[in-house]
Amino acid sequence: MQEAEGLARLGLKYNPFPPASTGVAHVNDLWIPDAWQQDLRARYKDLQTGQGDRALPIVGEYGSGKTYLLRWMGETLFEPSNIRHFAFDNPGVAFYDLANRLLRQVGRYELSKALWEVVSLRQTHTTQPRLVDFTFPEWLSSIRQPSAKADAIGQLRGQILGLELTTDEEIAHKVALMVAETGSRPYFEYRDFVAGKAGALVAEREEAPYFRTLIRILLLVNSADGIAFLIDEFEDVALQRRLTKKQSFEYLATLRRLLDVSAELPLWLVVSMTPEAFAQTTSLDPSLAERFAPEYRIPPLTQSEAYGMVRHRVGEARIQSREGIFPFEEGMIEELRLSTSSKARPLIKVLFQAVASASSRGMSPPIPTELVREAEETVYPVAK
Amino acid sequence: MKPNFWMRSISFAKLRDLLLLIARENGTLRAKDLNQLAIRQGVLVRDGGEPFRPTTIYHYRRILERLGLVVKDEGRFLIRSPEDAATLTCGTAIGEPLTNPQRSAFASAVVTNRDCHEIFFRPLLGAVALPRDIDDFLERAGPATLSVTRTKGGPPTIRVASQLEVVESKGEAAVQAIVWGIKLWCTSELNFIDELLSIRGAHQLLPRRVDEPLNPEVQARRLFKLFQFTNGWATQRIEDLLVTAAINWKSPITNTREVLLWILRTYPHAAVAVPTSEQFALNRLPRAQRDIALRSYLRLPTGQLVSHIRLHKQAELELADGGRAHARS
Repeated sequence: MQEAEGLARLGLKYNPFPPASTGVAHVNDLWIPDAWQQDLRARYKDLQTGQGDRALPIVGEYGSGKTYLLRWMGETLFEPSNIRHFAFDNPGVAFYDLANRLLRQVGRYELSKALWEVVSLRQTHTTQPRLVDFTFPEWLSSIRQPSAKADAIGQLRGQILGLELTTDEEIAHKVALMVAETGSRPYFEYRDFVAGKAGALVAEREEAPYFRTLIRILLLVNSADGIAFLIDEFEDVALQRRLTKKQSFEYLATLRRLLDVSAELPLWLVVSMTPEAFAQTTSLDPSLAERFAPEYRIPPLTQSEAYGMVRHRVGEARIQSREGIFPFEEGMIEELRLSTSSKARPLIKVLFQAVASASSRGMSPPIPTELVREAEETVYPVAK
Repeated sequence: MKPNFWMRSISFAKLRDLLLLIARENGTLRAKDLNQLAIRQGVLVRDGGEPFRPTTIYHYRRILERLGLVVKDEGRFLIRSPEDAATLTCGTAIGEPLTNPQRSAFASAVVTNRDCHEIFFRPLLGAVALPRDIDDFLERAGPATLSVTRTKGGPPTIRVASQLEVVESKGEAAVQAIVWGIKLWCTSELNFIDELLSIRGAHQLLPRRVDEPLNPEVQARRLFKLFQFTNGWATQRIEDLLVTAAINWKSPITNTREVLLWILRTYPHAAVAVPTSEQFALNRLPRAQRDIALRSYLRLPTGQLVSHIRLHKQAELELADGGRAHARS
C-alpha cells in the first residue's frame, strides 16, 4: 500500500521497469527503435520476396532484447502478414521432437477437429442418414466400433490425398489415424512421433514428408499464408537436452533439412542466439551458416534510442499524460555509463532500482539523476 | 628417411641439472657414472627420492645428445659447445627452477633440431630451412593446428597442419613423441608456443615470445586497432583477439587476457564484457580439454565467463588522451 502511494507520488501507476527484465511484462504495445524496425522490415521484405530458405539468425548479447525482438517480429511482422508463428524454447533434435512440440502447442483435439471440419467428413457408418450433421465429438463417438473406425479412416485418407496434403498413402493413413483416434487420446505423446514404434503417428523413415504434411495441414486449417518457427536462445538447446555441441548443431541442420523439404512451403525460421553460439555455429557447420540469411546483429542502443525506450515505458505507466521521460530528469540517460545505456536489460534494471528507491523514500518527482546513478552503482558496481 | 620419434615426457629443469653435472665433470663421465651421480645428487629422482627407472634415465641422456647439447667421446660425455651452453650451465644451481633465458636456450636447441623440425615445426615455418635460433623461429613461425585421429583397427594419425604445409605421421610412437614434443616441451615447459582448443577439436598452436613484459597501456593501444567501430561501438570475440595478437605480435595469450581484463577494469563505462554460458562453452568436453578450452575466454572476478568484448570508441580516445580513463565526474 505504502509502495503504491510512493509510486503515485511519482505520478506512476506502477513501476514501468520489471525487476529482472526477462520479458515484456506491463508493455501493451511492443516497441523497438526505429533503426531496428527499418532494418528488420527490410530484411523481412527481402526474405518474403526472395527465393529459397527463409531462415534468419538473430544475434545478440544476453539482455540485448532477443526474446523481445522475436515477440515483436511475431506480432508486428508475421501476424499482419497472416503468418502463424510458433515459439520454441527448447525443441529436441529430430523431426518428431519438432512435431511433438509444434502439435502440443496447437493441441491434437483442436488440430483434428479443424482438419475434420475442413474435409467435411460428416457421414460415416450409420444405419440411416441424419437430419442434423454430426458435431466432432458425436462423430468421434460414432466411430468407436472397429469397423466404423476403419471406414472413417479410409474416408479420411481419401480426403487427405484429395486435398493434396500429401501424395504418400502411408502418411495419409497416419494423419487419418491421428484424427480418428482423438476420441480415445485427445493429446499428443512423444511416442506418437517416434517413427516405427507401435502406434506411432509418423510414417516410418518419412519424418520429413510427414512434417511437411503437418505444415500443410496447419496452413490449411488456419487459412494462414505462412508458418514461422521462432526459436529462442538456441544455445540452451544443447544444455537442456544434454546434447553434445555437435548434436546441437545437427539440430539446426535438421531444421535446415526441414527448410529444404519445405522449399515450396511458406515456412519461416527465426533463431536467436548469443554471439558465441553464432560464432560456434559458423565454425562447426559453415554450410549451415551459409544457408541462413545474413544474420541480424542487435546493435547497442544509442542514447536517443535508450531515451525512446524509457519514454515509451514510463508513458504507459504514468497517471497523467506528460511529455518526455517524466518522472526522470531530462538528460538522465546521458549521465549513465555508456555500458549501461547501450543495452536494454542493464538500463531497465537500473531504472527499476531507481524508481523503487525513489518510491520507498517517498520522493516527489522528478527523480534526481544522482539517485539513478546511485542505483547504477548499486546494480552494477565498478570493480576497484 | 624414417622419422625419429625420440621425444619423451621429461622435465627441462632436470635436463638442465643433468647438463650441469656433465659440465662440472666435463669429459670424464661415462653413462653409468653419470646415472649414479645424477641419482646421488637428487637430479634424476622422483619427488619422494626414488630413482627414475633406467629407461627414463636413458631418455634424459639421449635427449641431451639428440638436442646437440652433449656429445660422447669414447663413451664419455662432453659439452658440445661450452659457449652455447653457458646460459644453461653458468650462474645456476641444481634444483633451481628454469629461468626464461634458460628456456630460450633450450627452445633454440629444440627449434634447430632436424627431427623436431621435420615432424612438427615444418608446418609452422612453411619452409624446409632450419631456423638459426628461437628468435629466428619466432620471426618466421605462423600458427598451425594439431589433431589426432583414432580409428578402430588402424594406427592413429597425428596431423600438424597450417596453410603452408601439412605433416602427417602414423602410429602410437609418432602420436606420443609429437604430443610430448609440442604440448609438453614447447607449450608447458619452454613457453614458446601457446595452445588453444578450436571448436572442431583441433589444437591451435600459436608461437609466442618466451618472455614478454606486461605493459597494459601499450598493449591496449595495439589491441584497440583491431576494433572496427560502427556508430561508436565495436564487438570482438576474445578468441579472435588472442589469436590475432599472437599472430601479429607473438603476444602470449596470458598477457593479452590480462590486457583485456585491464581494459574492462579501466573503462567500465565504455567497455562491456559479453558473457556466455560456461556449460555451453565447455559442453561435454573431456575433463582434460576443459582447461585448454577456457583459455579462449576471460574469467571475470565475479566468475562470469566472457566470450566477447564490446568497446566504445571513447575508451580508445581516453587512452590516447593521457593513458588513463577519466573518472566520471
